[in-house]
Amino acid sequence: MKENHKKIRRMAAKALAWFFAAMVGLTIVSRAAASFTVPRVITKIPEYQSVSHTVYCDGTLLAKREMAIVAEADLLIDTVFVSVGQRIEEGQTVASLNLEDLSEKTELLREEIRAAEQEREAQQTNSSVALKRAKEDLETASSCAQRAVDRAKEEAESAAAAYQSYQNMLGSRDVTEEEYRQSVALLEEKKAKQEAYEQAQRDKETALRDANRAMEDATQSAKQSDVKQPGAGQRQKQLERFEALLAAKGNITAPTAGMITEVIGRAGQKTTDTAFCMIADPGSGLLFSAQVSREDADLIEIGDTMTLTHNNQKVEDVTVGALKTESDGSVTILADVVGTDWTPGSSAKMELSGKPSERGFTVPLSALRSQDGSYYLLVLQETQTVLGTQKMAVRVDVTVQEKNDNLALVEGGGLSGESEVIIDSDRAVSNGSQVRLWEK
Amino acid sequence: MKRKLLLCSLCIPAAAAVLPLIFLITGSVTGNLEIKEYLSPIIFGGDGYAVWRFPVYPTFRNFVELLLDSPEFFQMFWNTQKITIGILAGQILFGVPAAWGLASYEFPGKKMIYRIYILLMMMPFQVTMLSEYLQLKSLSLLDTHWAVILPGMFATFTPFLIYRFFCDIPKELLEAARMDGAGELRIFFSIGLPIGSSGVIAALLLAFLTCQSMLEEPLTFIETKSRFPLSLYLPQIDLTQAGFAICASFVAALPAVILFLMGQDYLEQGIVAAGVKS
Repeated sequence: MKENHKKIRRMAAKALAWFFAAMVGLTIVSRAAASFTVPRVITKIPEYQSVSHTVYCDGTLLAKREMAIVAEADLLIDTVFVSVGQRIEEGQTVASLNLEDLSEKTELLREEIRAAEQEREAQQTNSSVALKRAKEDLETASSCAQRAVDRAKEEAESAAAAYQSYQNMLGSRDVTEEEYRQSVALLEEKKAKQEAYEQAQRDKETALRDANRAMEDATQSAKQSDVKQPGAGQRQKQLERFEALLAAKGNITAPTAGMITEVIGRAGQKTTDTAFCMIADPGSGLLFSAQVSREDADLIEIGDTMTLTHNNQKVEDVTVGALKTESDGSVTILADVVGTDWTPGSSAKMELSGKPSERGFTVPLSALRSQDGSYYLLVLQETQTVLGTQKMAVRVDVTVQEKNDNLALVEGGGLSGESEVIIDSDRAVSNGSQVRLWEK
Repeated sequence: MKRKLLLCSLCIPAAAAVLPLIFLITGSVTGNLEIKEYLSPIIFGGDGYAVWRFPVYPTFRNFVELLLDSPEFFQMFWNTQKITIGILAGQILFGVPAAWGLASYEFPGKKMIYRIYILLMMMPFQVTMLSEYLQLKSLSLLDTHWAVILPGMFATFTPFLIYRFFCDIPKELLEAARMDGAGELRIFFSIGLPIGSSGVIAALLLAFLTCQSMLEEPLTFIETKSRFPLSLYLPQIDLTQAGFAICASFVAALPAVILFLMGQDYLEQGIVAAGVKS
């Protein structure tokens, strides 16, 4: 029995030693496990300052004045000597046309003009001949018709005289049947001759009318043949331009000095009826153009000043001249840029600071959290726990007065210059969570 | 037959005494859902009676959560051990010599002191609480472990128990040792302690059990949570985590069980000695 008790005592002693050793080990393990699960946070003390809105965006520098260099359409381009951004002098060759093609087109144009002229001359000749003949026909028709009328009149008068004389001869005595028939015949003769006379008159009018019409037509045709065909003048001018190009050996030159902003024509292609290239006059000044969103545009007013940066050069106090709303809701900002040698067509960065807000406690946007439409911050608070003094995240409800891309001006929650606001953490943190500071 | 009948009749109260331990062991491996189902009348105030069964789906989840994911438990566990060791060391340093002095020597006022010991032993904590509080406050020991250790070091029960054992040492033996030229310290360390060791161990065992379950003194004198002993942690566990609480109780009870197995014989002697009238 006593041996048994001794054995139990020894085993119990060992068990106790192992128990405490295990408790020591598990103490370390549990502490280590807890340190893994406790979120690490970065905090920041709210700064008492105002919130300003700065709009940053990229824009383009445009030349205020641009000219188009045009060339005759449908001519083959041999070489283009300029590129976008290149400065050129007045009279400098910007491109050369294919001389062979130009010569062919010039010759073709000349032939067209010649053929048109010949056709016009032939038309003129035909018209004058037709007019002359129409005159002759009129005269002929007039004389013939008059003779026919005169003849018909004579006959009608003769027949009337014969009837009258027969009637006079018969007097008022009774006539025989033979005399009666003779009288009727003379009367019918008289009527027929009268009708013939009237018909002759009508025929004369018709003949004269037809001849007059023919005369008018011939006159009109003669007039038309004197007028030149439409397009003849244009072709002539085109020919003159082609001949000028030929004289310049196919070279297209710049009418003024400036900078090439756009080259439309390409070597190997044909010229079109639009501009061959665009040239900007740097001396006319630059216009800065940039597009911003509606929200950013609400912070900008005409008259606000901005800073432009291009190639590490800064220009300050550039005034916003115009704000133009586009169809998609964005807003284009336009501003005159003076006193620079910047190149039209290049880009520049805009920095525009709006009016700052009132001063107050500001926190980084990463510190701001929201729930059910209201904002709150998580503030570090030391609490006494079983494991000693530990840090805990405590929710503080705030109202956001103003905010920009980086900061938020908040009010309420008892914030002070000593509050440590949690701005970042390595895992999710909620109200009441135990946390520890993170040294990055 | 009579013996068997006696044995059977004693088994029933023995089983009843062991039931809490069985409850502790089975509850520590029972999942939270099952415990909630068994104890819902207690936890949620439902109708009916709470029942207890062996777990249908035993799990060690509570142990994992307690031993790997609860650093607070270990903080308080070591606080308890610190207080316990401090008190036991103090009792060894002061209580044992005090008991030897009372048992071995005759001096004026010995009976008065002994009666004061008995009186103090009978007084509940609530009676001496205020005076102790004021004393500790004047010594700036409040909210420290010394506020619990110091009064415990000078507790009266331990010397009283050891005194009973020292009283059983024959006076003639001590006289003989004196006559042989042994000094008082020599007599104490060479005769008194070896003979009275069982009593000392028994007393210390009982003191250990008392320190492990100490509740009122830490609650009164300690404010900082990080200094709380385990006896104050267990009541803070939510009833909805009953499985976790039972598991924590089981682990907290282990040292006491092991020490009981170690000092079972001495404990029996100590309990007997405590019950014998002087």
